Amino acid sequence: MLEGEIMLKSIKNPRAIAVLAILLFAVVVAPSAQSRPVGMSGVQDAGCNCHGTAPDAGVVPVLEGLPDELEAGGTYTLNISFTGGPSGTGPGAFALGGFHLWASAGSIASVDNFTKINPDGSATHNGIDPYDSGTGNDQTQWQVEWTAPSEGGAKFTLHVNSVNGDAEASADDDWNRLNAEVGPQPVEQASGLVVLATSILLMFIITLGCILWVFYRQFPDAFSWDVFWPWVSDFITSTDHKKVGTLYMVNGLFFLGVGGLFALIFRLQLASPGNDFLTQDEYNQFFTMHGTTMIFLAAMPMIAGFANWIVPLQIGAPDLALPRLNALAFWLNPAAALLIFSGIFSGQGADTGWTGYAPYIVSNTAHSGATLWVAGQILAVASSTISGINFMTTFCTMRAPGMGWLQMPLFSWSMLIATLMLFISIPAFGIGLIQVLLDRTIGTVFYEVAAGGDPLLWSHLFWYFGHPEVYVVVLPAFGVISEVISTSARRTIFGYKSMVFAMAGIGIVGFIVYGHHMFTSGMSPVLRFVTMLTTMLVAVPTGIKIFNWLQTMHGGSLVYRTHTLWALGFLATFTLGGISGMYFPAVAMDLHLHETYFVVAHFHYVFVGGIVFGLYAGIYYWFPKATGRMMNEKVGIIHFLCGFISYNLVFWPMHRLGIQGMPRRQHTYFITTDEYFALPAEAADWNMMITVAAFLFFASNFILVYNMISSGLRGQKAPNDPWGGWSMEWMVASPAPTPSHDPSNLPVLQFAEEHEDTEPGLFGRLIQWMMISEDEDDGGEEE
Amino acid sequence: MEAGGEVFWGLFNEFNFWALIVLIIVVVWLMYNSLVFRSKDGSDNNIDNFTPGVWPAENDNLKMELTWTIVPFILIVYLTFIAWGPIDELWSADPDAHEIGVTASQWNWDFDCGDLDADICEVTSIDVEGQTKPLLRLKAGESYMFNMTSVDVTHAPFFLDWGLKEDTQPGMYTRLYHTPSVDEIGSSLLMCTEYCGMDHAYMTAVVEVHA
Repeated sequence: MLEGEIMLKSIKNPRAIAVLAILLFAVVVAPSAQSRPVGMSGVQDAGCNCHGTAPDAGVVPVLEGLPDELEAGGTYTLNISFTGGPSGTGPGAFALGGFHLWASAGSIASVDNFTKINPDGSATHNGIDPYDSGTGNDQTQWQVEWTAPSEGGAKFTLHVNSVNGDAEASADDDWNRLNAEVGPQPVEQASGLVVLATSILLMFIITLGCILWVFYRQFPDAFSWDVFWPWVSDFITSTDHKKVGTLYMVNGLFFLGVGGLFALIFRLQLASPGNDFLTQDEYNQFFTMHGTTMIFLAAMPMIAGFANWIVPLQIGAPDLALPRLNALAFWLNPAAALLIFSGIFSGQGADTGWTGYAPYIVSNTAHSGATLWVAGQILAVASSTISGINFMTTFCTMRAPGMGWLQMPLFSWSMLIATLMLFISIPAFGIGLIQVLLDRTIGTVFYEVAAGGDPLLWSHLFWYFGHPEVYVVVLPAFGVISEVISTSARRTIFGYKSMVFAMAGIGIVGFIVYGHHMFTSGMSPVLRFVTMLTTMLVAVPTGIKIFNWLQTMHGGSLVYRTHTLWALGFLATFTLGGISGMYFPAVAMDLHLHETYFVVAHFHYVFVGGIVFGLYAGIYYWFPKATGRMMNEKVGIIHFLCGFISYNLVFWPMHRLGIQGMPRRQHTYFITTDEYFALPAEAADWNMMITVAAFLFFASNFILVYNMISSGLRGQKAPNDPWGGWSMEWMVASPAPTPSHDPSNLPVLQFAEEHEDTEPGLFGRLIQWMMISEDEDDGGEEE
Repeated sequence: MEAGGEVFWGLFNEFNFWALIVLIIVVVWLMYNSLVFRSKDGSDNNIDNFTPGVWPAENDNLKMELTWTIVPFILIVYLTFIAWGPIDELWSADPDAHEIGVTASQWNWDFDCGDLDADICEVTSIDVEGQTKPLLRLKAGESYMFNMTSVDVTHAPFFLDWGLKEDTQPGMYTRLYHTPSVDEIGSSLLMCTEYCGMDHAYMTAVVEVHA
């Protein structure tokens, strides 16, 4: 009844009715205006729509003369005819019928002047009475000759029209289609899009299955819709930071899998040179979606998931400052994902690369799905902005009593700096996206070079956001590693203040380095030179962090657990990724390495070896706090070994390929021939190895999923502080209660050493100045 | 032949040397600390006395922190210094260079030799895996300036053997200078290295340097 009342209410509002009517009208009219049977791939699929919209079974096409045993290169006379339909019944009946015959192989030749050959090799009747002299239209049967191909068989498509002779191509005529084949047919190759759609569906079903299984194991006696639905609806309507965090994590892990599927499919294409597993069109969409999915739909939500779960617990707050905004920020994500993906299943997904460079993205050659991609990205930008507001407010207002700015745990600090960076960078991206959306939909000319647009504008806007974005996703991973190494080594993190200042340093320098993505773009040499210097400089704070982590272990008592292994693995791979990054700011080297696999290797060492490994360490580290159960260490170690080894097998050879000059984003690659020099022959072997290892790496992640589910259900009960950490999330019970910390009895930060309460520093005073103090707030405007 | 030019390999080897040193320091340090300072019996020795909700004892050493701020900084300054020189070499404009026009379009390269001698610059065609592509013939020892633009979207010719690339942008001209040496005699594939749409991977040409 409730829904009925809501509907009635909205009907009473005339504006709502008008909007509904317009929407309904648009839904009804728009598709039918688009879906004339000419279709997307032309007359062969659509048929003779000028002779009626659909084939008519009353017309029977006949194709005679095809042999049972095909002789290679032989010539056959084909007889085409039809029966039925309105042929010749109209007044003055001078036209009787027509035909159109396509052969997928071999060649068709005309034997008399009743037929003719089209430029595409298909055959049709000659002449349309009464407009020209041809008499092929006055027949109901025709003859052509077909020469068989030298190997393999062929497929035929025949359309015939039975026309009523009124000399008009109209719906009063009837037509029909016949498909025939002769000789051996090639094995049907699966289309890349079909493989993708099937695998994503499979992923979705597996995810749903996992959720159902988790529910079933928790409530084995109450496995019914009446119990299941409240359980689910509690999750999807919750504003509790832990439940929203779980949603973020499930969302992020799901898209990590989907992004991986894209990679696997295009790695199949690249396994050998000259492969045709994917068409160029599909390949271009797949690498675009891989990058977009991994960064915006996997990495960002997973980081937001960690932040949601851990930040309030860690700084001693009952929840985030703005719980409803938090839920809104999450629910924008699936909507963004739907928009971004909706293009690809029409076969016209975005094919712009994750960087979406203009002017290509606004050109006619870019797929129509790029519009949806842009729209989805705008939602993702909105989501990040909203959750950023929330975290900043939480950090400013909800730290536990006694916790000054320089007593926040490092994971919280990393989130604070990441949020600040996101805030300063993402508007540029949002503006660029809105301009592109307007260019693509209502015909503005922001990026139209012919109308005076700057061909480099988008690159500047994008990389002004894009480079800090890399730090936005990597800093939280730094935070996780700081927590894990300190707790595992049983030592206070070495140089806490220098860690915070190093992150702040990265946060500042990170904004003035973006030009190193554009060394070859034709940008001003001065800007190239300046960003070369600043990019070199960013290695210093990053180096400080790595050396501090190493020194933290000194004099400690390192306890080896799965999260410790991932953290140590992170130190090795992230150092490699950092070092390979140092090759790019040297402009003279970048001119060779730009847009090659060396770049791909570098950023995968940072993104996977840095961010994903850091987040895996975080999953193993905080899992007991989230579920109240310990993860299985043996399975965890197997996961680490499989994942770490196969990961290096995937991405290490890419450095070599890059130096040899293999460009990224290319459908294929060329091996040196006698005629010209290109990639060495070994490049094919390396690519094959990368593809095989990629499958192993993908598979190894299911060990983690298995471990999370099985340990979550059957693992040992976890104590409050299983690893002996000091920060406030370990004060509360496992799993964490709601509210996370009792608001009437908030924890107060104690100090192991004598501690003087100092006056707030410049930063602290600035924040205080910006906030309305509680005494001044009369509270009158609150609900 | 080898991908990447002389300038690239000179810098690359130098950077590799320093990268290796940094890597060895980090890996040896990591190995040493994680093996020597491990909990021998796997039990939890709470060295810094962590207690939930209690800010732990300080652990820092200003001298050490300054050391690994200043030493890497000096290394960075040195690396910047050695990377500086070659830029001059790449960007110095030779006023006597032969100008070759390069016009990129989806998905073709169009080279224009102007009125240069056929010995110095000539455009013919060549078969690359079944497709006819332009072949640009240049002479070793001559100085060339590629004056490049695009008619539609961004492209970038990648001179594989020389280790050079530069985007071609619609509505503006970009330049690239190079004097092929005698070591660079031979033909190499030129690929597009800025994503430009459907046939991006097949937007190739061949550059031949003859004596």
